[in-house]
Amino acid sequence: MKFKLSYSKTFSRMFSGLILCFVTSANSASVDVWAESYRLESLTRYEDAAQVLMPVVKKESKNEFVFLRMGWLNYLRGNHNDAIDYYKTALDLNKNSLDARLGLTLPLLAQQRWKEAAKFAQETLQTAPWNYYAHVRLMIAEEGMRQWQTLAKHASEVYLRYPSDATVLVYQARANRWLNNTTEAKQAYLKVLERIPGHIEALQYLEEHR
Amino acid sequence: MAFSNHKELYWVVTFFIALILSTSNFAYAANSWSVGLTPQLLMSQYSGSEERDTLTSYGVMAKADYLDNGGLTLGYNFTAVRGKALNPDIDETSWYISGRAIRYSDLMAGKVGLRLDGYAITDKSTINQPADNSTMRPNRPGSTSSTFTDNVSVMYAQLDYKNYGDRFYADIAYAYSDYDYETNTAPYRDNQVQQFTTTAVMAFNDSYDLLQTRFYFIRLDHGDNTGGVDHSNALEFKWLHWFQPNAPLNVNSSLVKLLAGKRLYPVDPDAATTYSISDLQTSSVAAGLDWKLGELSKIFLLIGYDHYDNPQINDTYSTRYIFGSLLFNW
Repeated sequence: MKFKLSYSKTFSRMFSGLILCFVTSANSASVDVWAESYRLESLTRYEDAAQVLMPVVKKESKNEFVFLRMGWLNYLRGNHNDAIDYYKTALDLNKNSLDARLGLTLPLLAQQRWKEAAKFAQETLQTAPWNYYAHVRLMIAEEGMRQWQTLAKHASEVYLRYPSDATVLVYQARANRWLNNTTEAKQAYLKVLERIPGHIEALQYLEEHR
Repeated sequence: MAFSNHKELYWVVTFFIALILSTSNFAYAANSWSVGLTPQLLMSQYSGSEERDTLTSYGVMAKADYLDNGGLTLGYNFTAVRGKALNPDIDETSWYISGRAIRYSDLMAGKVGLRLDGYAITDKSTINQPADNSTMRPNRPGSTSSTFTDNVSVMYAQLDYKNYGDRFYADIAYAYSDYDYETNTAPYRDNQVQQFTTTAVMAFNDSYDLLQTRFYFIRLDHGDNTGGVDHSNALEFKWLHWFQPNAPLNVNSSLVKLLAGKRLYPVDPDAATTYSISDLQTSSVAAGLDWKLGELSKIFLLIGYDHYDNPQINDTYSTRYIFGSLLFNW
């Protein structure tokens, strides 16, 4: 009886060990897939980095993160339509996602879909009013739509929140250039040069408007 | 394929519009539409024409775009052509509807557009004749008048491509026009017109300049009312220049347009206009400027000179015109 009990315990331990081993192996395989995807991305092999995640995409239809990652990798590959589809799937899974909204702006801007990109940037700003990326991407869209007054005002407001940032100042300068506000454009470009001394666009403008 | 009373035209265009709406994503429709309104006025003076004296035209275009995916345009135009002496006065009402869908191609690195337009035009020609065949001028008591109503239906389809850098644009298009004359007897026998156009636009000078060329190939079913001419070909050049911010008079852009060759019953997709008179356009030149009014609106002015030939009565004449429009977007 004692032997039987002991045998049963041993068997149970062995069985548990086997299950644990199998689960660990499965998790490890899953983690390996992600690690492999990051490794391939670091080698700029974006197509392969996306390809290794395809089994996860097929198996885990509710995994929001895999869709965000597929959106990003497809954007890097230049497959903007696929990137938009993946980001929209991620957004459908989580309507509160700012990641998905900001992600969507990237392929949309690449395709010059200014209005649509602006819409997702503005939706982000409704939740996170001073999100830097949302503001920069909205400014890119405003420049694409040639909304110079809006862009000048917008860039000035963002500059107050991010005074060390050169990108915002470049947009402020460009908008004022198109509005014929030479003084304001020069001031903005001078500030750009304080932050990036060799900035070509700023140097050219200031050279032309001495 | 004749559009009797414009009914078939309505159905085809309605189907296309329904297609555009159904393929758009309406999940975020609330703030996704942008609209625009364009009132326009055209005044023209005929010179050397035996039949015509002046032309005045006014209308409005209303446009609604769904994000960057396409849109709809509706237009109405009324044109009054005043005839000389015993020649007819023509009142034309024109309804215009246009649907446009845009798709984005990663493979072609650009935008592919499909556009379908429909025009429903009614021309009422009023001929005044003295009752006693004397030299009494028309429109005086004692004269009689007859009115003829002609219907014109036009369908225009266009496939276009524009690269992401906005440096190259091309389109191919086909227009089918059905002229349904009330008399339907020679020379005004019902006619059908087919038009093929190909357009190419190249940008240069850092995209401050655009050069557009468009070939017109026009074929008529018969030449009964055009002096036997049943086809025409033309080449149109358009040069568009965008100005730097500190341009003289604060001009936003300018254009110059030239036409070489001959056009009969052409459909102009840029102006959203059909030339429903049966005279042969033998040359054309125009120049225009536009100014921005704030961020979303602009004013456009165009002056032009056209030369025409009516081989039916051997009448060669010209027109000078001025066109103005205001574009309001919001």
